[in-house]
Amino acid sequence: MLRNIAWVVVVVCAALVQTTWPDFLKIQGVTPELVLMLVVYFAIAAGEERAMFTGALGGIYQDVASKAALGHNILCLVIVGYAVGRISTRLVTDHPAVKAGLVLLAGVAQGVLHTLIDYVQYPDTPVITTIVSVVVPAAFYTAVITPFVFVALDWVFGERKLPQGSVT
Amino acid sequence: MAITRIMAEHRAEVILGTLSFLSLVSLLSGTSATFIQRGLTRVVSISSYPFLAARTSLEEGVGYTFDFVGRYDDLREEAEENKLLRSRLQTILAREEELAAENRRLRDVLDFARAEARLTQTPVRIIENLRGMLTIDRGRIHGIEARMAVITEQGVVGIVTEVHDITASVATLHHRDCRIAAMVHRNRIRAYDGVVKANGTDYNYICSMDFIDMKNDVRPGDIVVTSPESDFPAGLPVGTVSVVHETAGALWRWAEIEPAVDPYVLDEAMVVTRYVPESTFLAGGVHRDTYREATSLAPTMPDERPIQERLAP
Repeated sequence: MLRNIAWVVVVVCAALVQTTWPDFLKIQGVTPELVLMLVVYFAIAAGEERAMFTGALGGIYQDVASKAALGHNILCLVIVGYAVGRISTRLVTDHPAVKAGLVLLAGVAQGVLHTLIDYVQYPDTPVITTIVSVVVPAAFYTAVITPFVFVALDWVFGERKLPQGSVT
Repeated sequence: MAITRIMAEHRAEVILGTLSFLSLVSLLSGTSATFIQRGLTRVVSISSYPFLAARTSLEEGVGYTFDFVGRYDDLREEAEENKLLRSRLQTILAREEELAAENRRLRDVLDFARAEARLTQTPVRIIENLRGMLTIDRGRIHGIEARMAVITEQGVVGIVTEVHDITASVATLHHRDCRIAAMVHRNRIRAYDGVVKANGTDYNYICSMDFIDMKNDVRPGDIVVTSPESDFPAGLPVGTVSVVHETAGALWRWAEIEPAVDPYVLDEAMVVTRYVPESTFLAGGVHRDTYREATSLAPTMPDERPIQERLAP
């Protein structure tokens, strides 16, 4: 129970930090995807179900805070969470670099999805430019800080893997 | 049962499908104005508030710390400048207070000079004050002469004892050289020698009236004024009787007199260069012949030297 409460608090805090402190986290105009990092972390640690719920909860906060259409970030993060959860079952190492690489791939995938949905909603969105100048740098930035965030999350949730399955 | 079993076996895919479906429906239908969106917005706003407050506090703290470190030299210069300005301001305020006090004193002196029309007074400044002896900034070339009276609006200060070209010395009631003929204002009683003089050391603020007859009524609190025999105009306050000493079997009593003027706090005074006898003044017709120089009418002081010294060749 306490572990689930901690999970909710961490996800909500990450979403709020990402939505309310963008200037603090920005480097050269690039913001790390904290919620995405949590999605990947929980996908590796607890499986795709918790990763999807993490994406749903964090996505709601991001959608509301960024005044985007409800479901925009949720859809991207849920899909990425499911995909990373499935991939992580095949990981044979816990090396931080592998996790960082996974975060990089997840970031690119989430960014591409986000941009495509943007494109569907607003056809004048420059897809390629956005992916090259925003999505890839953000994914790289997120991957760079991943080991540190994962260490902190390991400290919060312990070294043991979270129970697979439902969040309750 | 089969559907339940299939859903249980593919729970992750079911969750994915459900969440994706809901998201897509939301995206396609545009739920930005629905009650769901409003409720979520309210929840997010409420839960965001502590973070926004913390962010504001952190930004202010970081900004303050950065300014404190980054602008340390500027702040130090500003503090030095403030210190300098503060000292200047204190100097100006002190000067202003001093000027106001001087203005008040001069107004009092002017009022006194106007009120005492029988006196011709010369205002002087005290330029030195040492052991009851004052040095004033007026001398022979200004018409100051020895034995002239020095007064203020509060009463008697002392008497001019030595005159130089541009300065003069004044023995106050705190100096042994000063003896002023005085009387008790209430009943005009005088001492046997008729004077008030300094007693004890030059630092002693108390004067004395010696040789008071045992039968004379002198009490603490009596005002002592100059008598008509003195170099001063009659009736100027000399001091107040503080204690009357009486020894059993003695012929005389003596009284301690607290001077009316404290010469150690004086900045200005008036030298009486001449005065008109009061009766003549009140009768009108002040004539030049009625002026008289400020010379003493007091009897010769008793010789207190020992007999050996008096008769020595």
